[in-house]
Amino acid sequence: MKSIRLVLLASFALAACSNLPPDDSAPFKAYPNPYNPTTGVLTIEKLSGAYATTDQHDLSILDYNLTEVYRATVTPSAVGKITWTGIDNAGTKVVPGVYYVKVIVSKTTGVEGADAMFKLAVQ
Amino acid sequence: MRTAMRITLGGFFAAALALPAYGVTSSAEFLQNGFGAKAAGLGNGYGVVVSDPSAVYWNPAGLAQIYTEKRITQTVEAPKGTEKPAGDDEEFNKLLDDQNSSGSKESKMVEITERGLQTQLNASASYLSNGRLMYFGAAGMTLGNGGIGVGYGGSRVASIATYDASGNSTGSGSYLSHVAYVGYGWGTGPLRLGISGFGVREDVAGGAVNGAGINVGAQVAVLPPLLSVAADLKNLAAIQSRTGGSFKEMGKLDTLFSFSMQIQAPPPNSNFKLILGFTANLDRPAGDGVKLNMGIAYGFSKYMYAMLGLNGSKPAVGLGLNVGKTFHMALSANRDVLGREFQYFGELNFAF
Repeated sequence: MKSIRLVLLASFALAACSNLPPDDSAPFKAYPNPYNPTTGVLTIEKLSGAYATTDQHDLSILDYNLTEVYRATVTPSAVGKITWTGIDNAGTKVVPGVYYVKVIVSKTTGVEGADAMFKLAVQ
Repeated sequence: MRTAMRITLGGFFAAALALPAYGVTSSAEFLQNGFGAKAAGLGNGYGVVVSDPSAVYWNPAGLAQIYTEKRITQTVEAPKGTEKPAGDDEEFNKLLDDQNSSGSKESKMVEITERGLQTQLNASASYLSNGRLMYFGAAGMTLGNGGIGVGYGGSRVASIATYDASGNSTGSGSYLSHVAYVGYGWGTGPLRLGISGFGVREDVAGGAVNGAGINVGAQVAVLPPLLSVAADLKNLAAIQSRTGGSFKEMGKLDTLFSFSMQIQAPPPNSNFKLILGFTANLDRPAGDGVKLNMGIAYGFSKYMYAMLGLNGSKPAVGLGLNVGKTFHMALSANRDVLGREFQYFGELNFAF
């Protein structure tokens, strides 16, 4: 019983470790998925509304450890869609695998927001 | 034959070192994060602890611990007044040799501990954040002065929303990775050494990633049973080939170096163990390249123990159950690196 109490206590301590606010829940889609960077661009589109062309948008591309492995600054098109050529800010082309991608929005007022993370399969 | 093998191995290492490193490693995350509830519960400081077939991944030297202690009684002639020393049997054999130069002999009954044949089966499964599953199964048995092990595992990333080029939904897909290991660990006295090889395959939509590499490791009982240390290299000389529709590249997987030490409290608190260590990504030393591995195991009885661990910034908690020397079970949980989701691990081990 003592051991179970200890484990439960430690579990509650772990539960208190979350350190990030929830993502923006606005729905969006990224296509094509799977994406092949040698054959075209990746388009990210909000299902309601559009990305503001005045804001700065960064794609943060994370690996399975949720460590950022690529970052690409992108500009929304006139109709509020984001397109990405598969090349990051350092000029490196994304290699095949599965990634977790977030769109980070920096407004001119300095406030940052982020879309929910989505899974992207790269061919 | 030996020369040919040396040339082949040398060429393999040289090719792996000459290849450019990718910006990211393989997406087969088990090659970096490992398997199992005990390892997760102890903060991945597991290279010094492992003594079951999952050693093919964690530290192949641990395969040398797959044996059962067989006690046999022998009648021997020894110099008068000779007692079996507390140390190993080599000392005793030395004393037996001394009887040649001694005039006085007598018959003695002595108990000798030998390595007996043992087979172990190990299975683990994990539910990870963002809809990922990971699993691993391994078998090992005593072989000579060591142990041999084989293992198979993989991961599955589920619920990837798929779309065609026009943005029309095509449902959802999953992404699979597979790995197979074979290894051997050999031990003498306080030293154990091991080597294992693996092949890995990831099924990328429209293509594949194939790779292979080796793990090497050592375990040393410095001051048994109070202090042990271990070191291992994972994904050494590991190469991979990525192919897609119009895409083919060769590269190398990130090599990891791990060091860990296990400190066991002296009696009467010998049910308390502390594990300290680190894992360094030799190909990406900057930033998150070095992780602290820390674990505490506390045995409440001979049947149950609790674990607390810290792997980098990921805290973990776990509970283990032993039923004799035959059945071991462990459950553990940690938070993902963003601290958003729980990840759950389960593991079973049978020894017979």
